[in-house]
This record gives sequence, C-alpha cells and structure tokens, in this order.
Amino acid sequence: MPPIISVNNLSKIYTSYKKQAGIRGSLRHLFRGEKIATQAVQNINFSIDEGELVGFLGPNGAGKTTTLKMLSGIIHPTNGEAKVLGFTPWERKTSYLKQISLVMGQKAQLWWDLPGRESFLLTRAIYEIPDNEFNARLKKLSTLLKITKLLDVPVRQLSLGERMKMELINALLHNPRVLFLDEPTIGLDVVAQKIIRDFLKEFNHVLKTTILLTSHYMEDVEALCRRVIVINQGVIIYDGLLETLVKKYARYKILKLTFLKEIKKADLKLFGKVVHFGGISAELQVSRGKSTDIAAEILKKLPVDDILIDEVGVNEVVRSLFSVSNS
Amino acid sequence: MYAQVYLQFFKTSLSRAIIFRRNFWIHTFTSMMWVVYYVFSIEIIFRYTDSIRGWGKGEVLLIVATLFFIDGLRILLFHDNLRDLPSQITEGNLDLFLIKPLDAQFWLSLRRLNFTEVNLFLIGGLLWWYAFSLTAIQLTIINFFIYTILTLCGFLITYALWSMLVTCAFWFPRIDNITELFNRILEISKYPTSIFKGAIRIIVYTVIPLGVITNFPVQALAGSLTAVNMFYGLCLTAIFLLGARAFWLVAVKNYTSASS
Repeated sequence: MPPIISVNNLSKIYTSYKKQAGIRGSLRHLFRGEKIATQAVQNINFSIDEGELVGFLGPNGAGKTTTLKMLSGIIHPTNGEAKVLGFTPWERKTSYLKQISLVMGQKAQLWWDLPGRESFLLTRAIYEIPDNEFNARLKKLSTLLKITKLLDVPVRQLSLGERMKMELINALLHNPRVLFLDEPTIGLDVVAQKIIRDFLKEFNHVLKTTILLTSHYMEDVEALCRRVIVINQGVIIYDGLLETLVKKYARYKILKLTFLKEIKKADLKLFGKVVHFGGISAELQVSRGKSTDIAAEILKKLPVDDILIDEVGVNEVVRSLFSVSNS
Repeated sequence: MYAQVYLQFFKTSLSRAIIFRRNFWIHTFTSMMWVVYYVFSIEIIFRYTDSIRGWGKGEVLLIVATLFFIDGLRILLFHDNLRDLPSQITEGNLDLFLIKPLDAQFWLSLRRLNFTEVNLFLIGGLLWWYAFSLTAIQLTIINFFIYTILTLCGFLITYALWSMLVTCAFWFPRIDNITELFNRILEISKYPTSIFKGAIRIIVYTVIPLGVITNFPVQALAGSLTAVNMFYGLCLTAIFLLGARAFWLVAVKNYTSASS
C-alpha cells in the first residue's frame, strides 16, 4: 500500500524586508527595502502510512507549522513536492479538501457569539454531510468529549478547554481521512488535555484516521504517538520510534523539591545532579528509571514539604538531540 | 451546495442580529440623520440655482436615493466581511478558510450579513419617491428595468472595487481602515459627475467609476443615457468583477500566512 502522505525535498523560503529602527530607518525602508530570505523548511523528506499517528516535534520556528500549512494546502512551497491522498495539497482541489482537516490550537473557526451547533450546521452545508450521518457523528463526538450539554451555549461563554473540544468536533464532522493538528492542547489544563488526548487516540484507533500532530507537551506526544519526526531549523534530524528517541535522549526526569527548612546543597548531591538550588527549593536531575525510588529516599531523609516528578520537556529532549546533531 | 451554505450564512447572521437587535434602532436613527443631511446639503445648493449642469434637484436627489440602495445592499451583504478581510489576512485567520472545500473568496465576502442598515431601503425608497415627484420623468417598465439593472451594475462595481482594495492587504498588512477611505470616496458619487472636468472626469468614468455607479442609472431612468453608454456600463461591470477575481487568485497564490 502506498503511503498516504509523502513528502519529497520540500522547501519553503519566506522573503521579508529588513527595516532599521527609527524614523530614518522607516523612511529608507519606504524607498529601498533590503530583502531577507528565511529558509523555514529545507529539503525535507518523509512518508506516513494510512492510520498512523505521528508526532511532529521541534522548537519554535523549526518549521513544523510551515510544513503543516504546505500539506494542508494553505501555502505554496518554494521547491519540492508532496502528495497527500494522491493530491498535491496546494492545488486545493475540492475533493482533496473534503478529506482533510486542520485544527490550530491558536485559531478559532467557530462563530464567537453563537452556540457551537450553529457553526456545525454551516460545516454540514459546506461538506454536504447527509443529515443522519451528521446527527450520529455530532452525538458520538460530543459524548466522547463530554460536552453534549454545551452545544447550545454561545461559544464565547465556554472555557478554553470546552472551546477547543468544540473546534475538534467542527473539524471532524466530515470524517476526514487525514487530520493535521497544530498544538491542539496549548494552554489547556491537565484534565482537558487528557480528555482530548484520549479522544484523539480513540478516534485514530477506531476510524484509522491518519493524524499528524505538533505539540510542545511531551505528555501529548508520549500518550499518542509511536512515531515522531523531529525538525530543527527546517531540517529533519530524527524520524523514528518515540521510544528509541526517549531512551536515547531523555534519560532523565526532573524532581522539583520544596523543603520545610533550608538544607545544604551537598546533601542533595548524593541523589543526583542538582540543576537548580535555592535553599528551600531545588531541582534535581535523576535517571529515568530510578526517579520514584530516589523520590522515596529523599522523602525519608530530608524535610520535604512538596515533591514533584516532572518530565524533561520535549524541548529538553530535542535540545539534547541537537547538541548531538550539531557536534 | 453554495445555496445551502449561503442559507446557513443568512440564518447565522440573523441569529446574531437578533442578539444585537438594539443596534438596529440606533442605526435607523443615524441613517435618518444622514438623509436629512444629504437633502439639506442639496437643498442649499439649489437655493442658488435651478440646475447643476443639466441636473435638476429631483434628478440629483434620485442619485442620492440610488446611492442609498447601493449602500444598503453593500452593507447588508458585504460590509462586515470586507471590512474584516485585512485583519483576517494579517492575523493569518485566512488559513482556516483556505482549507475548506468552499471558494474562499465567496466565503470571505459573504459569510456575514449585516442587517443593521436594512432601513436604508425604506428610507431610500421614500427619498426616491419624493425626488421622483420633483422631476418630469415618465416612468415606463422599460426605463425602470434599465434603471434597476444599472443600479445592480453599480452595486457590483462597488463590490469589485472594494474587494480589490482590501485584497491589497496581502502585500500591505496595515490597511484595516481602508474601508473607511472607500466609504468616503463612494460618498462623492452622490453628486452628478458632470461637475468634474479634465483628468478627474476621466477617472470617475474609468478607474473609480463613480459616474457609472450612480449617474448612469438615473440618466437611464430620465431617458438621457445613450445606448453606447449603457453597453459601456455593462462591460465595465464585467471587467471589474473579472479583475477582482483575478487579483484575488494571484493574491492567494502569494499568501504566506502568519506565524502562529
């Protein structure tokens, strides 16, 4: 079976104009602007099979969103080609657009003043979804996301998490075969994040929807994706199983500690590498597998007020990946 | 499908309008004030003369009434959409329209109807009736039909011109208030264009065809518009619409979105 998404030497260069500060700079800019070219994506290659759920990782400005925008047909690439479902995305054929969907955590597509249901009716008209399918899907999606009761509440009265769930419903009503998600859990609380994560997992599992997801939260990626593609400065630096990536680069967890009284740094050093020390608070880097054992031991031996075991962020993993890829 | 979608736009906008129904009365009041202002400003001119380059008071007021109809339609169908287009482009919200299997220009031009100024049709109608009674024009089915067609042409040119202006936002990001400028320019078309001379006269019949938008319909009604000019009006409408479409397509192709 051919891959559902295949990307060949795709590049995007943005041109912008340099402007010096101040009035004189602005005036000069008015007459002859100096062009600067920013290479957002450089000759990237990858392919994704039907039903895969792939995480797209990288720091801000790495080229993740640019790639998603090219694949969903919003912008034209400078070079290279891509095929999604056999279509060239930026030709924006209706038959292509009907099979995909894009959700951006930062952008709302629902009518702000009206209940979600009104926006869904518009979606039904745009995608020509038959009535019975529409009703069944709406019921199913809203039940899964636990927002059946909120369908008739104006969107502006919803919380950020509820709104994001509405956005997801709106994006999935036409049952897309490929779903692009750009930071779907950004700014949400832990509970909402988890509901959305479980939902996406279920959706991908049951309907075999191919999902390409970008996120800053390691938990998102860990919970959802077996495979990740890491991109930095427009170049793919890792493409493979998440498990391998984490084993290789996120060998640590972070223990965030608060003490009842000031302690000595030397006492902490026995347990692991001290990343941050502030007398009554400290952060400790400990090996992944032993984090709980070490936490238990610290609780026993030191006057701990509060303890938190944290992941090194996705950025941390990516950063250690870069330090290797750069050297 | 487009009819279905448009019906949905209509319903959604109507629900919104009902939420903000108080606006309606305020706007009706403002529109009445505008009529009073226009009528007075023209009344003052005609206190000193019987005609402006062949246009009597009734005919001039007919131009004003025609402008009210065009404005009413324009605000009802396009105003909110085209006003917001520059910021949609700058803020990158256009992305969400481009990924839908629906023409983005159709969607972005028509998705919101603004019902607050529908009173313009009624007020324009009253003014039209009053103005008409001042003239010696014989009303026939034919001249009324041509009048209607040319008014619609004027309306379509207005849309095309405005659409091209806001499409410039693809290259010049901060033009949110260009709609205000456009409104001011359009206001000039409440005068007979024959008051202009030389280069401006050429402009108001070509690049910014204010003369075609409001004067042609009234001239047709009065029976003073030549067949050539009628044909010219129709062609110009087609050219403007095609131009606006082509310009949009080029712009979207060069769209670089905004970072998020």
